[in-house]
Amino acid sequence: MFIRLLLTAFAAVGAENLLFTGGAGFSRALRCAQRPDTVGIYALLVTWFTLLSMFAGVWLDPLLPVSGNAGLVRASCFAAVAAAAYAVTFVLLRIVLPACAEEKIAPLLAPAAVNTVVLAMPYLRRSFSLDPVQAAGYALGTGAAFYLASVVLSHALAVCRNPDMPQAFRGLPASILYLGILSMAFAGFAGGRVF
Amino acid sequence: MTLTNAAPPYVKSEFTVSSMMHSMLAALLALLVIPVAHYGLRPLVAAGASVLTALLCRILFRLFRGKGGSVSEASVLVTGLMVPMLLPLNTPLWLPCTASAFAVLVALEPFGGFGRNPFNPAAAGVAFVSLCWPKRVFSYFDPSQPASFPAFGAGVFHVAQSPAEILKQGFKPEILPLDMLWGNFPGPLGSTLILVIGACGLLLFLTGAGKAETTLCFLGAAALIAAAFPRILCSPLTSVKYEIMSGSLLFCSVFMVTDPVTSPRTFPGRCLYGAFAGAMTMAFRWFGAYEQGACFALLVANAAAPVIDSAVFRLRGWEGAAA
Amino acid sequence: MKKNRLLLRGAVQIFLNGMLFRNPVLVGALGMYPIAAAAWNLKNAAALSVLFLALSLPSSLVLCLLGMLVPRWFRPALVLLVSAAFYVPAGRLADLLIPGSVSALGMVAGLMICNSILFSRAEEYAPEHVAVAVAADSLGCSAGFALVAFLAALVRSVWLGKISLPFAAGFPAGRAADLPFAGFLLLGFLAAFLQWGNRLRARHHAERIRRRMP
Repeated sequence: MFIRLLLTAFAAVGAENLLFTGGAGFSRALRCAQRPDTVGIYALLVTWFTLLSMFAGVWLDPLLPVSGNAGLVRASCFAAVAAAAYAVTFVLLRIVLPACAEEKIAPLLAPAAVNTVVLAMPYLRRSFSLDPVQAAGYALGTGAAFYLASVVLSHALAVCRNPDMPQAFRGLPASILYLGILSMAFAGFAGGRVF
Repeated sequence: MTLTNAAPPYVKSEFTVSSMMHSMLAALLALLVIPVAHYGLRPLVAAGASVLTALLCRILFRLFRGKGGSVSEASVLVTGLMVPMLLPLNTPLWLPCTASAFAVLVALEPFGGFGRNPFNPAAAGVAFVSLCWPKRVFSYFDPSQPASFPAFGAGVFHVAQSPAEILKQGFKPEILPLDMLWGNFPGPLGSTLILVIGACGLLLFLTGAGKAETTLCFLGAAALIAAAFPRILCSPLTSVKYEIMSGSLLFCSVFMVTDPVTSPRTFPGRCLYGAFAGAMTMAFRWFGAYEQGACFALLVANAAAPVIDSAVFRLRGWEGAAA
Repeated sequence: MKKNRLLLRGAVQIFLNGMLFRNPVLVGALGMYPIAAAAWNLKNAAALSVLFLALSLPSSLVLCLLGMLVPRWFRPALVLLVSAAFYVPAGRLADLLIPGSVSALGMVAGLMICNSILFSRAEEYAPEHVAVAVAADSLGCSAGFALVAFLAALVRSVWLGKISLPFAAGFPAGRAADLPFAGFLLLGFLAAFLQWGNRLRARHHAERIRRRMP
């Protein structure tokens, strides 16, 4: 069971990396990278919410319609669950954590809870036909992938602002090009569309 | 006194950036000698077209920026010359040109040109054309059969599977590892000449154009994984020989992973980086979509290089993160 | 009358900022995923644009009304709930206008609920501005998103060979333009183009002010 969890987690970091191969969550990863001191907590929160979202998929998916107009309700349900997860987590943290810690973590909670990486989990669970153990592994691997992406991007941001660069490319445009080339590298795993 | 952060490569002692680039150029040109002797002018034309495209793209980009050319033009020649070495000789001329154009216009100039590029431009260019035209990039002519390549236009040749492709399918290549040393097997233009690549590597290390530790750690990691997890039913040593000599792994280990701009600045950093790149190359060979993954692996390793540098600095207790 | 004129001029400026000068995708680096992952043909681009407009406008207006009535910490959850509620009619509208588009988009359609442009505008901007400004901002961001989506889709369609250009006859079509990396590379160049345009505009504006000064 642990081996299956580990293998799926590795797949989530490598060949089936939702961020680099799928292109999801880079807006959040870029913002996370701009504050390197919060990368660890941010990634931990993303991992927590991906786990919750994945298990919402495990439990709710068999009950929800897939195709047609009724299938639109499926996406809404998962989003509603994500909203509930955020609210419950916020309340729990407020109760459990001291005020100084809560002050640090609270601003990161909403961006960590509401993003494409977290909400994509139920879709990917269905797409890859993951059982609960593999689903947990994939969620953990995605959290790790988010952390790695943010760490790499935090170092890349300095490269993308050097004075020799054309001014038109300085800053965000070069960062997006950087993302594109890295995404191209990971596309070598899949060769075609994965998600 | 104002201190400014200079761009890599950081060179001390008697070597200069110019001498490094010239050594690299000489080594790459040496790889063209045998193909030209066998197949005529076509290898030279392919290399020339690629170099010309790279130069033109750079000049156009600089003119657009309102800047002139500079001494580091040699770096663009190196990029232009490296691209066709990673592609088959039987590809149409527009393919290495497209790869070179991508290398310069997307991976090099937008980041500030030579010394500021975070990714190896040749690796980026080849990765791009591999994704866009995989059938052309991974289709090799059979050197054991009669083949003719006019300087321009399509050649006449038989297609054969490369040892890398056969390994990917889980079978043992027919050619013996010892016979692969002579380079007479299907593969990319400059990547099959094993002995020449080895000699070029020695030249580059002696002239300071490349760091030996990066190459050794790259090959070491790849060999370790090949021995521990062989893709075919054979002895660990046979697996190592096939993996090292097939595809563009050896070429990348000597010419690309040693790129002083994109590799880490410290000795332990370069060792870690080389090992990581070697491991990633084997990961792409195992799990990737294509028979070769050295270029893709190198791009991932390039992204990890500043992180490795930062970690080494922190361990040594030096101030600040990578610039 | 003068107040209305000022309000209209302000709304037009907000719209133009959202559509072009402060395009949320190319300047804010928001909402890149749907464009990178799905805007590789014109049908997908159209569907994404319809979905975005149908989600963004009502969500922003609802948050404009209710945003200040709920505790600050609850706003993100409210945005998500409101957006989820509007997703069903938005999806039906997209399917009505472009049949089969929502199923063709797959996962990308459902993830428009938490689109970062929509989320940031509804959560941060809408509760603290008047309805006219919120509507103009939402329409501007929708127009900006659509513009980028269609541009990206056009270039990628040409690359894939689905649209042929007269001067490029005979050039072999590549593949991989439908992969996210192609979308990111295009977005990078579009962002550079817009940054260059904005700098030029700022320079002309500064020049104009300098000339007006005594």
